[in-house]
Amino acid sequence: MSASQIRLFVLLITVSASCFANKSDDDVRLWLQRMVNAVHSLSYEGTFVFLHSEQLESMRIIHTADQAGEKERLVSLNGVAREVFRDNASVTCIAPDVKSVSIGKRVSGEGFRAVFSVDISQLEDLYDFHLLGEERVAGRPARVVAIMPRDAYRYGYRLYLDIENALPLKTDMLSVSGKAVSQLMFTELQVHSSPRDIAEISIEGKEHYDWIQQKPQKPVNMSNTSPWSFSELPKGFAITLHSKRKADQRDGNVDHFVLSDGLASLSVYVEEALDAGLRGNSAMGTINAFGSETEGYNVTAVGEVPAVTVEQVARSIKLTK
Amino acid sequence: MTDDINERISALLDNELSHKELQHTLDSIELDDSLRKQWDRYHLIGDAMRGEAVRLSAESIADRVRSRLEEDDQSLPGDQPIPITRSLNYRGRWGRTAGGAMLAASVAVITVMAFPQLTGTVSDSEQPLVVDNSLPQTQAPYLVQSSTRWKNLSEPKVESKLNRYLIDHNEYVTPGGIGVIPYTSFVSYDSDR
Repeated sequence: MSASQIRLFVLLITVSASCFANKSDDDVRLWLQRMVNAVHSLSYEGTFVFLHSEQLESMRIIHTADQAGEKERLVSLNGVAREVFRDNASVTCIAPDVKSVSIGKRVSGEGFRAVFSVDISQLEDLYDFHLLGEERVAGRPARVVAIMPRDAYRYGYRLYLDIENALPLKTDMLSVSGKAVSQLMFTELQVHSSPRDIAEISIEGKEHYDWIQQKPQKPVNMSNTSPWSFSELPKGFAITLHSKRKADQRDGNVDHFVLSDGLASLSVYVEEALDAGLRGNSAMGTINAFGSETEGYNVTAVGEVPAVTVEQVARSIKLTK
Repeated sequence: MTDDINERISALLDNELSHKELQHTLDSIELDDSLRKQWDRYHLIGDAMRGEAVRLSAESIADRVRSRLEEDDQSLPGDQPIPITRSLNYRGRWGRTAGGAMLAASVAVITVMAFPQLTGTVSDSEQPLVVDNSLPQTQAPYLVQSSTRWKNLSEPKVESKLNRYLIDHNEYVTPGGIGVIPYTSFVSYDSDR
């Protein structure tokens, strides 16, 4: 084989490998975008089990979408039949154990149709994307997509997407070592071809319930200027939102930062240390939290990210002005 | 009038009342049984919203506050003796000082916040006022387990604050994208309880 033949051969291999990689990326991107669209735009109802921290729960979700927007009901099938109803304007939490219905206005006013797009090219430094084989979940064939974190600062996902409509039939949240942190799996799912009316509440004896309108949250301001800044954030994380608003039940304000790497997110709350705050780490299910005191302020980081991430983010905040 | 008192009860919970409004509102609550029940429900809903343990007890929170105040009156050194009957003098006790009224409000809040702590792991001097009549005192340890969902936490106020942060955080993060369906923590049945 001549040198030019070798060069041509190498070039061909490189080009075909690159084409394959691009095709694979495109496929993953396509599947993830299909999934996001499906979750928001389809009308479906189903039962899923949710396993976290060795606790198994069962819930029912009913979702409908039409020109007016989305509506969703989430009902616990275990224990007390607590329920959440959401639409674009409000979140209604029903607690039969206290015979109360609580209605809260959405914070953003934009409903829960958050614009969410999967930009793989922006995330490639942080996650590996793989299109895996096919599986069967809830009696339906599913395509498996894996999003693996490249470091321990974020969780990964193994998504089993319905081949027909791309709804996530099973979602495994994974640590960097590939261990499942939580698993959510539909045992039964029906997709409706047209929007259906959702009964907003399923409680019996409505007249015996107390209906309470929660006060909407009052942001003091939404600004980019803050005396706080973060040094040494985990790779890829940046502030996506900062707001300052009145603290609960007392004077003073709370600074709220949302940080995201494009997929994972956490919040950091900074309040004057007038009362006890979290010190050290804590966790609930898949949520981790870390708190410390800095310059007389309680700093608390909380989010669905590994413990090492909330700790590093909370420790990296500094008063700069 | 009804809306007005509802707003004032809400403001009372948020600690937004002036000295005068506070006394007036506490008086109103004390004199009206339905208002007192409503006040209790506000607390319970707040707990439910934060995903905290909610337990209904035969003794209302307002009653607990009252008995706590009466205990304080007995135990405070140098305090003037005040008849500890629950009828006529009680209203006067509520409004006696702003400090007393504030104590009443804060005791009530602490009482509710303390509900998740049912295992007797109290260390804070404010906490022993919690008496939960709904649980037998002699449960086997393995049945009690940890009644808090947050790990490494023994302070109800901190847990309550963390719950508020988490619910607030849920409102800001991308919902319905990748990950767990939002609000599962509210709907969730906690077998530890």
